[in-house]
Amino acid sequence: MKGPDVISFEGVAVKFGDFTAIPDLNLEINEGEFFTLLGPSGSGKTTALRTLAGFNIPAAGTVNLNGRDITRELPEKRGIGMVFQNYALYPTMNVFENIAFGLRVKKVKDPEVATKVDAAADRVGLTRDQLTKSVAALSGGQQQRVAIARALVLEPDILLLDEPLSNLDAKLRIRLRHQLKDLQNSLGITTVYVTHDQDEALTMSDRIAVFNLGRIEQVGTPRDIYDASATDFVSGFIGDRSIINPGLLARLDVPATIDPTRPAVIRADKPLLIVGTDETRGLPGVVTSLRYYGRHTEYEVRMFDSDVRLLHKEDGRTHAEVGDAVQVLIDPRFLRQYAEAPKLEDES
Amino acid sequence: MKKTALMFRSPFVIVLWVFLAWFIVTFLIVPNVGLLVESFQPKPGRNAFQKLLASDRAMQSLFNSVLLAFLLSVTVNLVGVFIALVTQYFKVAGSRILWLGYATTFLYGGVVLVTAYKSVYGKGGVFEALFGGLGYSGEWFGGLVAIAFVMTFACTTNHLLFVSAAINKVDQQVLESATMMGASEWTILRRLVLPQIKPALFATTILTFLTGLGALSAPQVIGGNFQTISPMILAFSNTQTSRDLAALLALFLGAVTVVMLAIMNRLESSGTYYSLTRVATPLAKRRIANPVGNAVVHIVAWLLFVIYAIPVVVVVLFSFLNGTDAARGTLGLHSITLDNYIRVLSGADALRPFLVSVAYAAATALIVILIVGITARFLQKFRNVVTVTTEYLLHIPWVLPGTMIALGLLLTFNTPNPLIGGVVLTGTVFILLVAYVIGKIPFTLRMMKSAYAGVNVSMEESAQIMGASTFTVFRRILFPAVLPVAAAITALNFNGLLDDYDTAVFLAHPSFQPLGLVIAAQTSSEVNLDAQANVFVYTVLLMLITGATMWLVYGRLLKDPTKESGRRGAPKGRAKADTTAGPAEPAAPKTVAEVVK
Repeated sequence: MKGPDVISFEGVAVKFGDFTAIPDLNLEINEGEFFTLLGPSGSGKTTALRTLAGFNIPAAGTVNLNGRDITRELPEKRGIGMVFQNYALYPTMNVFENIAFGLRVKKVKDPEVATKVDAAADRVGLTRDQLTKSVAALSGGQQQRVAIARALVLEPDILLLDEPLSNLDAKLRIRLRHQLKDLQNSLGITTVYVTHDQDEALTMSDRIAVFNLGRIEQVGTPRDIYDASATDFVSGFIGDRSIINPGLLARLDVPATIDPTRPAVIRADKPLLIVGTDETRGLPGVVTSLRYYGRHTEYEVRMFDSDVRLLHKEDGRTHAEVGDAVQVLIDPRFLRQYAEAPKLEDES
Repeated sequence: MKKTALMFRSPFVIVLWVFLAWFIVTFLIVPNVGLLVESFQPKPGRNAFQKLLASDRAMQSLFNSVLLAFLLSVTVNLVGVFIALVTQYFKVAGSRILWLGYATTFLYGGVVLVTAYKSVYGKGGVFEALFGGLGYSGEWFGGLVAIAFVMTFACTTNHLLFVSAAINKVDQQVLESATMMGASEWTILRRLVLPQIKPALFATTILTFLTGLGALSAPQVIGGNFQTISPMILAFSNTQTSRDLAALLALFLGAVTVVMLAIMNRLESSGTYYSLTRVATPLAKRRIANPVGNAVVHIVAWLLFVIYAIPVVVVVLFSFLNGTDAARGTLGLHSITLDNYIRVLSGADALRPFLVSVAYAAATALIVILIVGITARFLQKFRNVVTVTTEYLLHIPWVLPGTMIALGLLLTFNTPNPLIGGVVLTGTVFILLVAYVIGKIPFTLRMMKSAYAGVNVSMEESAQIMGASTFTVFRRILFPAVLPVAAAITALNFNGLLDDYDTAVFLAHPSFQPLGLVIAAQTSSEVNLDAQANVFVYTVLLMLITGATMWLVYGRLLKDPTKESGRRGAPKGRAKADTTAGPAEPAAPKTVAEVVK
């Protein structure tokens, strides 16, 4: 969805006292995109979002919106909609008044307020009788919808969301994820979304920027980030991977881009498990551990000098047990190698 | 941490700070500097120091104050710790009722309490009227003995609040493990419980010491020849030639207060000393195994209950009795009457001091919450040189005794002063108002800062990003959020000023005497039960208002609404603040001094 860029950060630096949260941020976000800022806590993604909102003033650089330099503009002047992590609903007002707040600030007349609030409520799936309830009486998912409706009712140019799903339980999170994405699709509004959850990032985004220690490691589509990770950090942060050591690399037909004397990595979903005594297609290994998830199993297979993790879909036909001798097919096209030596992230 | 420049972007803030600067300089700094000048200025004749050393009365008053302070530190602790243990720690029959008795000091204090005690025990009082025939004479009730007696029981409020809270924080399992190892009750108390409540004890001891040192209403009303510093300050301030002596004494009081409060600040490391904590799992009360010990504890506990309760009972009872009959000793069923109430509530003369007090209290409460309510917001949100300095300066009244503040105002504004447009304040109705407002600022400031800090910052930000200006954010988001606390503080400030004596005695306008002064005047010499009837009615009315205020503040305004559906607020019979939603500090006055006045 390449269009004119709507939001841009140019050389932006953000400091808090002596601490530099973001040293030099350069980023362009296109019109209508669902753009995610992804990274672990403390990576600077929320700082970047809040700089865009106007709650942080950069020490250097410019922030542009629709061609306008908004770097030093007050938040209330930017025309941006924002949904906060804890929703920030006003406890002394009911749902209707919460959604209507922005309109009342702009001194919109009552009949128009009612029309717009009703429309916003419909759009997010709130019923009419929920509008008269006190916000404290709503569930987490409903509160989140109120927060979104409140941001959208002002018809902002862009919508910012700061980890809006992190306070919800897992099932609700997944359901709302889909609804949010559908909503964004139907509205076509440029959306900047902050999260540390890679599933959210991958399923919802048009493009993702992966943050680490205040810097962007990679910007790309979900596929780019996942399959063509640009740096070791991105490769390790997203998805599961195995470290393939030189001993195993020597037995693979590695492409020219891979140095066979240094370890490489491969995603856990790429190696193929072959079970059967007369199989010779792959390379031999022994199953050292497994974790059964129902619809797939995670195996760890010892192959020469490497422990290879692989995900095996449970198709009902083949599976292996710990200690079994198996064959694993590794397509060397999926090997990746980076300047830094890879480390396995801790199992969570 | 926002920069100074950011804060002063708004013209409103600039105006506010100009006002604050004027206020602080005019009413907080200049008067106190004035006292310094008055004391240390070289003069023809003797200077203040020489006068002090030459005056037997003044030197004696210094000695008396210190004596009283030390004496009270001991007696109040003894009684205070005992009543805290008896209501929280040990299994004592009827502890709920005991608590209610001990808690009567929440309902009244200061000159009202002293007067009540005097009308019970003093010459011409109720006991003489009732038991005179049996040989009771009110002669004993005067001087150091009477002051110590009354103040010992008046000053235990802090123990009932803070020492009780500290006791309740003791881990039940610590006590159980000690019991299992064979430790006796006394050992457990001495080696496990008392050390843990030491911070609370230190703090209350310091406050008690300061109260004793600066006592005014008790020595004035029942002190007789035993004079202490504050009455001396009052006496000396009345004549031109001894004003500098008054100033010096006030400075002495102020210096001691500052030093002791600084010490107390150091001891405040546990922090939670100031909180009224919600009791999560009540400490299981301990049985006193030794039968003799148990009996003694029960007897003393109930004896104390009687002592606490008698003045309240007498006051309430006698408010409904014909004063003339009481004075003559001819009481009977015919004496029961509502005349006293009717006289007070309808008669202009009788009602006037009440109305004056209400007017002052209401005006003060509203002015303070207006000034502080807005200022506190900026002090909480911005930390820069300006806000930090302002906050420190606004705490001046917190560390200085009321006597010193009153005297400073009196001496500074008795001549036309350019800072206030060239008028004189002394002798007008406004000077007392100024003193009241000054006195209430620190407490209100701390509470409001806390309240603002409790508002989630993303509520403001979300309003901001939707286009709301700073003022709109304040009006529609912040103000409603802190309103319950602001209302609670206003109610407490109002209530606390109704029976003020210590400040009014210095600064009141002769035609607009508040209640505290009138009450004290009635019992200046011997008790006259006829005239006393009005005072009884005032006292009952004040207690009712205080009770209503406590219920309003602790029972409703400071209650956490999210806890409504769960436990029904505080355990029965206790005035506790649920602090989870509200500010971390209690709505109770900071010092015993404020309670006892």
